[in-house]
Amino acid sequence: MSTDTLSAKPKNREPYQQAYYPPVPTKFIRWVRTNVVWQFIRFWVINFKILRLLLKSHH
Amino acid sequence: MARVLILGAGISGHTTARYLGKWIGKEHEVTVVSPNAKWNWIPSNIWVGVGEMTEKQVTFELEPIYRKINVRFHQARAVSIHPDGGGAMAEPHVTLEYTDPARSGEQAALPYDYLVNATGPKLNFGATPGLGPDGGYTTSVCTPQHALHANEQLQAAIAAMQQGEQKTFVIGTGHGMCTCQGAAFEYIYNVDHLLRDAGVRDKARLVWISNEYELGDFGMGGVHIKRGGYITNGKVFAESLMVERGIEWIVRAAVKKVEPGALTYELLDGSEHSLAFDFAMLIPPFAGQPLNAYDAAGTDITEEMFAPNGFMKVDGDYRPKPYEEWSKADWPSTYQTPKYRNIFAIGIAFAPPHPISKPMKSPNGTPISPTPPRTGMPSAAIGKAVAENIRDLLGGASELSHTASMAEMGAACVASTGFDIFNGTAATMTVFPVVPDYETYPEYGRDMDLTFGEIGLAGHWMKYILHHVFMYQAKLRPGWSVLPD
Repeated sequence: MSTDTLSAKPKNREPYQQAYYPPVPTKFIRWVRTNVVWQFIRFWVINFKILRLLLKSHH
Repeated sequence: MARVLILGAGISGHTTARYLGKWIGKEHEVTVVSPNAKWNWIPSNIWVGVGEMTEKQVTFELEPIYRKINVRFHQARAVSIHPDGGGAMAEPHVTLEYTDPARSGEQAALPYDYLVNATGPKLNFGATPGLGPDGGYTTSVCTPQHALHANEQLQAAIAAMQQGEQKTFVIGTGHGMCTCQGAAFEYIYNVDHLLRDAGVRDKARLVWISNEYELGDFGMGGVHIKRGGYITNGKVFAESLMVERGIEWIVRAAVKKVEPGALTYELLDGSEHSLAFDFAMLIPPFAGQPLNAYDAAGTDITEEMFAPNGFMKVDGDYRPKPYEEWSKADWPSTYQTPKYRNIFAIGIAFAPPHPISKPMKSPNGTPISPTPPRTGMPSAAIGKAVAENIRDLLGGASELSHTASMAEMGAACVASTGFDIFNGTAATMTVFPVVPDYETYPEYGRDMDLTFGEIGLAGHWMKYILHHVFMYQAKLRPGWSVLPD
């Protein structure tokens, strides 16, 4: 095996580190988070949820 | 005619002032005392700290606004409370020292029939050697001036990275007993967003450091939310966001000392570590504003009226008890002081009966756990409830019928994770109630239908719109009183 081949081989990802365990969003989820049409819908959903919270908090 | 005196013009004090001005300003005398001439929408300071907003966009002069609703304004610092009168004045009064440049250092006494203490926090940078922008080595986003200073340092670091330098950014809490992790949380993501926009993210190491037991605690003991068919702890989402953005994190940490370019911190296991940095933004711990109280004979009754941390005791249950016995009934609901029925303390100025997150100590005895948040939405709700009660008392009511217990109210938090109209994002979180109520919601302490969280562009739009709505409302523009607080 040549040295060139060895250096081109990707290194194994280090396990047991803090960044190894949490879920990471897929490309699709990241796209959805800034998709204007979907986020426009979510905007009103979030507003509705906060309105419900305000109504329940009022004494 | 009754005299209502409000000390402080932050979110809670200004809320009380604007409603009392509207409801009773023509018949009664409402006065606000604040050391600052300007009001500040504090949640947007993080955007000043990354250069996305100017100081002018997050502040305005208070005096002309109060004139609209017959509220008097004194730019001064409250020095002492005399709830039984005494000294030069037989009536209950507060002594002041003016910070208004025209009367700087001048002292005065203002009598009152009702007193509302909304003095907010003292930013206690002195609790950690080397912490803070004034004589220390870290920046802050707690005031517009601090945020401007943070942005200057940030832009200098970016310029150096554009010349090829590597930089380490440390952002989080600067003491073992901080609250307000949310502001630092927003700031680290906005810094990340800015570094990516500047094309230098690959030259930056970003490190989060906080006194939370786990990420996503935020001084509320964390939250559980429904997501993807599971009920999941907020820690999972907070860690996910850190990994997605390439940010390292250190939790269960009390920063003990900051020196130029390096800080020392202790972990909950008692071990001590050092971390080198080029830029640090660390939130200080909060204490009550220095304010003494005296009875008619001049005897100091500060200890009777205030908790040791300087916050004013109200109608909470302050008897020490273990975490397992904490109850929603411990939390104040009317914010009236037990001895003086005409004195109230609101916002950060009231003494919480205990934390919300479980208290933790290292083997060395260092407390390392968040103190409870009482900013933003709860502050405004408390300020409005106290205004309603004072209005009703002046109208002849004998009981306080309006309550705002943090164990019975929810809170919405929109935490910016990047400023851009199309590519920005924010984490929107709601919790109900703020203080977990295991009597009503035995499993998680919270209503799972009202407690939720998500990240996206919609959150950024929300935060940006809320900035303008709250500035509009605080400036008492037409229709302000129908807007939600």
